[in-house]
Parts: sequence; structure tokens; C-alpha cells
Amino acid sequence: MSDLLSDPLNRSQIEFLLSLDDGTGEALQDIVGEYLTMSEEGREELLRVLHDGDASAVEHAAHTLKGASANVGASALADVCADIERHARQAQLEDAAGLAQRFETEFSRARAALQAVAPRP
Amino acid sequence: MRILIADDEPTSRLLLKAIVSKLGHETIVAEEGSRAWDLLSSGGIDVLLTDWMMPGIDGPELCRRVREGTGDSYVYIVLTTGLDHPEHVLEGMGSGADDYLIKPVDSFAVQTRLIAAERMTELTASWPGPRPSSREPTSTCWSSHSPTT
Repeated sequence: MSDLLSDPLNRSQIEFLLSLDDGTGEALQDIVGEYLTMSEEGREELLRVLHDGDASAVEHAAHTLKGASANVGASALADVCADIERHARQAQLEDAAGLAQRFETEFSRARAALQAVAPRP
Repeated sequence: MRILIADDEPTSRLLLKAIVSKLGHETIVAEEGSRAWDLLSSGGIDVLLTDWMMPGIDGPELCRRVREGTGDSYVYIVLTTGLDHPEHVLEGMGSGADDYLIKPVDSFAVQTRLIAAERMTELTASWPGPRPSSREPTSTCWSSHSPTT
């Protein structure tokens, strides 16, 4: 229950992104906007290779999404991606469906929170 | 300084570009290792901030090519990656990187590395001998010329 109620975003990272320009929020908009685009493609790729059981491809896809998610403060999603990356590195993908479900839950929460922080014009 | 950012992941490129620009440096970006190598080969780069995992030429290979190259000036290299295991850090430094940053990066971490980079590039520019170009750690290069007391 506490996981469902916790903030999907690391607010200090959001504050950091806001500090990167002269207060216009342009850097935050650019970085989050890019993330919302690339993460949708990354999600499709990760779910596809998880379904296929391709451990090497899962590790790479999860690694990329982990880094990008951390950059925009989506820390809960980054943690799930790190967990998937670890499972893939150890070739432990028996519970691919469970990993995919955890990913989908955090992915939806992160996107909703980010869209609220940096709405697309 | 003129700083090349090499990363195939777009949010990392944008984040590093924003940080480095705010610190007052000129930035150039490359979306893959081979493009970064082209830019490095044409010269004029003071610092390379490079990801590890990239299509084509990866970060460690980029480090090796820079160190084995014949450019006139020293390129200070910082590997910036999410690979945080000690063996990765050692492999990255062994390939020719001067420093190693684990993502996500923040302004303070980048700023401190660039202070060191600026000092190093100024030192090597004024050094009368051949530039340090081996894959040995930078400190080893200098200790051979400067006996410790």
C-alpha cells in the first residue's frame, strides 16, 4: 500500500532540472519532453524482449531506461528497471510476466507525474 | 573549454549539455561513438564526456583511440555511465579515462571534474615534452617527471 501512495518522482531531481536555466523551466521541459518520447519506445522494446526471454536485450533495454528515468527523477521506475537489469544479467527471467507488470505500474505512475510537472505545450 | 558530450541516450545528452553550458563551456554533442571519434579526430576538443554503452564505438574503445592517437593536445576524458561496479570503473580508467562519473550526474560532480580537466589541459599545453598519451593513469604520467617528496 505504501508503494502505491509514495511519490513516483524524486522531487530534488526535479528541482535540480529547474535550476539548469534562468528560471524559465525550459531545460526541464526539454529533458522531460525527450524522456516522454524515448521512454515510450523503450517501454515497447523492453516488453517485447521480456516476452521473448532475450536476457541480453532485456539487460540493455532496462539499463537505458534506468538511466533515463533517473535523469528525470523517476526514481521508483528507475529502481524497477535496475531490478529487471539485474535479473537479466543473472539470466533469471522466469518471472518475466511479474517483472513486466511491476514495470508497467511504475511506468504509468512516472509518466502521469512527469506530465503534471512538465505539461507539453 | 570545448567539451564533447558523447551519449546515445537523449536525456543524458540534454542533461549534460545543460549542465556544461551553465558552467560556461562550449558544448558539442555526438549521438554515437563513431561520430564522437570523427569530431575528436578533427581536433580542438579539450574534454570528452563519454557514455560507456554506445552503438558502434563504445566509451572504453573511444578512450583507447584517443590515447593512442597523435593529436597535439591532451584530451581529458570522463566516462559518465550507469555501470557502477568496481570492475567497470577499473576497466574504464584502464582504457584511458581520467575520471569516472556514475549517472545520474549532478552539476557539482561535473563542475569538480571540469576544474581538474582545466588544470590538466593547461599543464599539458605548457609542458615542453611530448604530451601524456599512454593509457596509464594521468598521475602515473606526471609522477615519472616529478619525483614525490
